[in-house]
Amino acid sequence: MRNLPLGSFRASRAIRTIGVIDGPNMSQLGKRNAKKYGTIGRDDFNAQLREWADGLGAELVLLVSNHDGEILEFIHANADVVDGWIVNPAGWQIYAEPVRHALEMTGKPNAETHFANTVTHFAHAQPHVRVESGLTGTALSLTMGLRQYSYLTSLIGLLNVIDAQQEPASA
Amino acid sequence: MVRTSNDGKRWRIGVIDGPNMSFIGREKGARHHNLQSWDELRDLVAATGDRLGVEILHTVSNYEGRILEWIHAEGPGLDGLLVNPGGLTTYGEGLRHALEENGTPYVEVHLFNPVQYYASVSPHIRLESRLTSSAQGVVAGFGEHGYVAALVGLVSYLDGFSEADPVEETEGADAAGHTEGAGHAEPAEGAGR
Repeated sequence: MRNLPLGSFRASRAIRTIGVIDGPNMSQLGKRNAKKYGTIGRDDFNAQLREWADGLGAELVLLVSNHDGEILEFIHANADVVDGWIVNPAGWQIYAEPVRHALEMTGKPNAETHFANTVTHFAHAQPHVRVESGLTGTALSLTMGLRQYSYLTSLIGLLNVIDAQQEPASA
Repeated sequence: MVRTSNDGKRWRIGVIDGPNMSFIGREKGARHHNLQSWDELRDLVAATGDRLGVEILHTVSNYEGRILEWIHAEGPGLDGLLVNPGGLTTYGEGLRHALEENGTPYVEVHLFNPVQYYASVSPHIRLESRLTSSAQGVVAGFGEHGYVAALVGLVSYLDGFSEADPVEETEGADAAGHTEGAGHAEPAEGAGR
């Protein structure tokens, strides 16, 4: 296993709090299509997320939920707690306006994140109608296609952007 | 360089910067990064490659034909790519085709969030990337940090899902009812091991 020198991918040492939201059907990790999602199970993935966060100097507030209202209320409750968000809207991606709006209202940057390449996914899953994410328009960023490593990518990108916003001199 | 005894395979990663990327740092008006020059970006990518223990081949060009020929020449020896198509993003079918034909997974990288960017510069015509449908993935909107983040993600993905460790199907078919073969992110033949 490669030893990732996580601390070297970020200049600041400030501990940031990142809200992580996995939406509808992400509770089923490990039991889904292996080609898109790999084989990592939900509990293992939660542990992996915390390990990456530790190495990068971040604390996570994590929600895995299949319930729309629960996701919105989690965003409301943690709006002032977090420095930024990593959000996989999952099954909620196409009509995501409530989530998009809730995230926008927090004023904190959100990194839209997916296991799979959603463009190719929707080209196959819904070939008869054009669908795409409703989140990206007001997201900081989009990361997709690297399976669980999309979240590591989003963590590194998001933390560096937060650092530059909060400590411009260290950018 | 940070190395340990189990530092993983020395993947060969191509990095392609397309039209107008050579001009970053000198632009007037909106900028989506905090760099003074493309050289800074090149150095940032090189340093990240060193820390990861992978080999980086980085090219920048304002000429699509030169990019295509670089892919023809270097592509077969690569295990993965980062591609920032720059000005080619919305119409570069030749670039997409060359990358698809090469067969090595590539991550499409942008300094900006493309949905926001194209909505603002082209409010009258819907523009979007031609590269995404053949890409392994996308990393966009983190400025220059996206290159660091994408490299770490791509190397981790290659480590986790390479030919040596093929993904077994847990379900037989995807939503369209087609059974997909196992195995993913297979390094091109002749790639350095």
